[in-house]
Amino acid sequence: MDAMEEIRQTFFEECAEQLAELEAGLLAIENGEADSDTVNAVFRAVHSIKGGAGAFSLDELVAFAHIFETTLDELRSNRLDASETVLKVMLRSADALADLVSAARDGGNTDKEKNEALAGELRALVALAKGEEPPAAGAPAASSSSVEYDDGMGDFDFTPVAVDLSELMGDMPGNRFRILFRPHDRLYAKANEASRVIRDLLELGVGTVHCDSSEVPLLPHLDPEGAYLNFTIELETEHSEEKIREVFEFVEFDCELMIEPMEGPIVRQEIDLEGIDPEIAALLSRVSGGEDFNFGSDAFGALEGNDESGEAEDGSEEPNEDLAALLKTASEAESVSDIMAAVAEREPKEEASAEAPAPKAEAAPDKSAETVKAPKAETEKASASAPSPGQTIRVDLERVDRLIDLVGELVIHQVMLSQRAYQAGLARASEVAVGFDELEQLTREIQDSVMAIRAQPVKSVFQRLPRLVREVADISGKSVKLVTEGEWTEVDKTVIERLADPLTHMIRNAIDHGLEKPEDRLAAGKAEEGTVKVAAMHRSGRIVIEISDDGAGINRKKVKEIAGNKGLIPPDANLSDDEIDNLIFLPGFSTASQISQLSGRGVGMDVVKRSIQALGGRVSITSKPGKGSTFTMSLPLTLAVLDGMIVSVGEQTVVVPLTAIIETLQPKKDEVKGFGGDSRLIQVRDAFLPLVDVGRELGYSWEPASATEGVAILVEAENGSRSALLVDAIQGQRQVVIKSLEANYGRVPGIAAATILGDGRVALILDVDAVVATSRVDQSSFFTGMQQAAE
Amino acid sequence: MSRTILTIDDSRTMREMLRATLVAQGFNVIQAEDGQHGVEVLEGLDQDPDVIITDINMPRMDGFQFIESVRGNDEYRAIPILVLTTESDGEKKQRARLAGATGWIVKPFDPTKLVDAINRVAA
Repeated sequence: MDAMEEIRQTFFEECAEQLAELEAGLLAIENGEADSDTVNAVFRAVHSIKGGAGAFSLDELVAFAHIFETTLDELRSNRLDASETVLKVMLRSADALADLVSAARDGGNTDKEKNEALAGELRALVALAKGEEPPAAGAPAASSSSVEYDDGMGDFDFTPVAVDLSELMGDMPGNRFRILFRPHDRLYAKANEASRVIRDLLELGVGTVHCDSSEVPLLPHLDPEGAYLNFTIELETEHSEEKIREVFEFVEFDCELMIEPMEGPIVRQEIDLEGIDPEIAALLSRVSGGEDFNFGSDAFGALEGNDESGEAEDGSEEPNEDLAALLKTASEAESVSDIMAAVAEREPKEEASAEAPAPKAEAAPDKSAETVKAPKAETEKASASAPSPGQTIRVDLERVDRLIDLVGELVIHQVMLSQRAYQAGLARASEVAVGFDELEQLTREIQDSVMAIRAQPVKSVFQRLPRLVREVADISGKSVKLVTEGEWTEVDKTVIERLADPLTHMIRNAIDHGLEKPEDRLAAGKAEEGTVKVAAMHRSGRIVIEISDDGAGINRKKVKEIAGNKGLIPPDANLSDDEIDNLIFLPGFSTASQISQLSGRGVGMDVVKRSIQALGGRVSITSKPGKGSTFTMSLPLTLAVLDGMIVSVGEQTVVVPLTAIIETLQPKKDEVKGFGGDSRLIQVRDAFLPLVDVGRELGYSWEPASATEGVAILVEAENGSRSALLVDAIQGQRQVVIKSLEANYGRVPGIAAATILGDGRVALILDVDAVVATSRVDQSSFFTGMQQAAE
Repeated sequence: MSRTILTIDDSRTMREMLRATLVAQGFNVIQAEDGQHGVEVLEGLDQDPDVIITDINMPRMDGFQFIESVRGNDEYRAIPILVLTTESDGEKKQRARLAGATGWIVKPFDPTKLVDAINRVAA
């Protein structure tokens, strides 16, 4: 069923939001930053999950959510202290709930034993909360605190009615009951109606209704909202007493009710309710007189046969002094229609009765419509200024992406159009050119705005971190505090999604390898609890995420040793501290002696680095011995556009991402040095940098390009190492729309993506790191070759 | 003329569930996201809904407060209000009744019971 599937999806989306709120709330409580709103929100989150889960018959989830909710309710009503122990259980329960939701969504399994144990802990907390409150056990309902959750009726004080089962079951169909029904004022005040109850009752079988109006006072004493009528219903039905009680379900506490089995047959004939306007019965039940009413077959029969209200409205019944008198007339009237007419005539005189919540007679609606108008005008004003809670709309991501794609095309065509116009001789100072400028400005703004739609706060990723930290801390036996900053920093949704994995690994790494064991920390004079800080910020058009710990820092001696042993660096390599730190990102580097069940999951920092690079990001590390390490990730805000430098390489046009470029320079002959084979170095001030011939690396030409005729673009690779890219010429700088090459063609080494230029041609976007790395491999193989030759 | 139901629930899932169920049964459905919003929606309507169905646990204004607010307003007090509650919420049922709820619907509800409850309280 489609609609159901959609709601199911909504449910799981909502679950994710509620789980996040739950965890954030619990953490706030743990940090002592919570107010009652937070506690309520936490409770509501679990409550909502339970409600939705119930609708989808996710029993396991419902059961766990239920006990969790019960415990939270104890917390909410301050019967349970938000102690550290309690919160630990709650946080673990939140994790378990998240697992149950995932399992329900994806059809996986959960650790039943663990959940049951956790549910046991929660139950124990509830018991503790209840036990601590001395009067809870035996106290009557006065404090309403002793709520029995599994009892449908809680602490209602209703008296069980003895039922003779043999009587009920004896001669079905044809159980006979006498029902005494005496509504209280409050029954009507809650918009219930005696008439509707009686209507429903008579649907169960055949019966008569007697109305006792003897309690209706004289008009001066009549409270228009008072309840003065008592009903006796004699009912013959095939149903049991239980079924009859069900009819009174909503009103049983707002009336006196007695149901007793009857001897002997009911003499009245069957009542056909079809023809009776329930409003009539309702009206009569509210406005009554001193006579006994008989709602039996006589009156109803008369109504059925003579329901001509038009004629009745002309009835010249004299208005009487009070309602009792009216009703007296009514009881003598020939038909219910006559009664109606008489009542309707009196209605306008009864100011108060128009306000009564009872359904109104036909004369009344005009008046009530008037009273509605005046306040409505005011409230409309108020509601216009009041912010409605739904200030967001949900849009299918595909639609947004389609829009982004179209805007991308728009940008390309706008650029193409103006370029062609200028090529065709359009004067720069012409009005058309001014128009083009404005169009360009607008197009950019549209593009930025559309991109902003996809931007989301990193909060959604950061929210998952506390759980991760708890788990890793538990397993590694370390005490860890997580600090997050800048969780509202926005970045493209895709970036966020793909950020989770590397971030997870880096945090795992920070706790597992970065932080010391509590005893070592104490010995080093640090706080027992280690801190891992994750901060997000915008910096020069990119998002930067720093993961820092206050641990021991990188053990450089060991890192260098390992890298040397694994042949990643020459044994006698002279490396700076930074260079040593960055060795951990090298493929094949794994501090084997430290492999644990956490970090050593077969994912090294090289994989982390690669996945960040795949996002157009960079990662680096700084470390201070004894003080800790900081990993810095820098990512583009969007994956849809890129600021690039357009360069010519051979016959081709290539885009170099601007973020990688440090500077450009014109190589002079004496600055370029041969370095064996085809390798060349370029001297930039007092450093020698490898000169990477882009044309050769990409296979555009076999001949080495002339360095002095080209342009060298200084780039910085992710590891911070610098190189110079040799290209033929620079065409300009431009924002380009990224088109996936993999999706449209296939993966090409050294190329990150493609774009369409203003002139309509396709240009490739250079993967700077890959190009530099491949040239490195060439160089290092040459380097090793040299070494081997020397040996 | 089909009846109009105002549903108030902060859970999108429940709102959609109610809407799907009620629309399939031929009701008009108007939605609000919490008690406060419910009051605003109610005030903006030209014609009162036939029945209001409200959740209890909601931010800003909960179901109890909402019912009290409706019952305290001469204009709206006659509108039947059904409360959405869970089987185990004995206390809530009682509180809702004290606040002035006309009746209740136990979650998870099946369509028949939902319509039954509406018919029971609707004029």
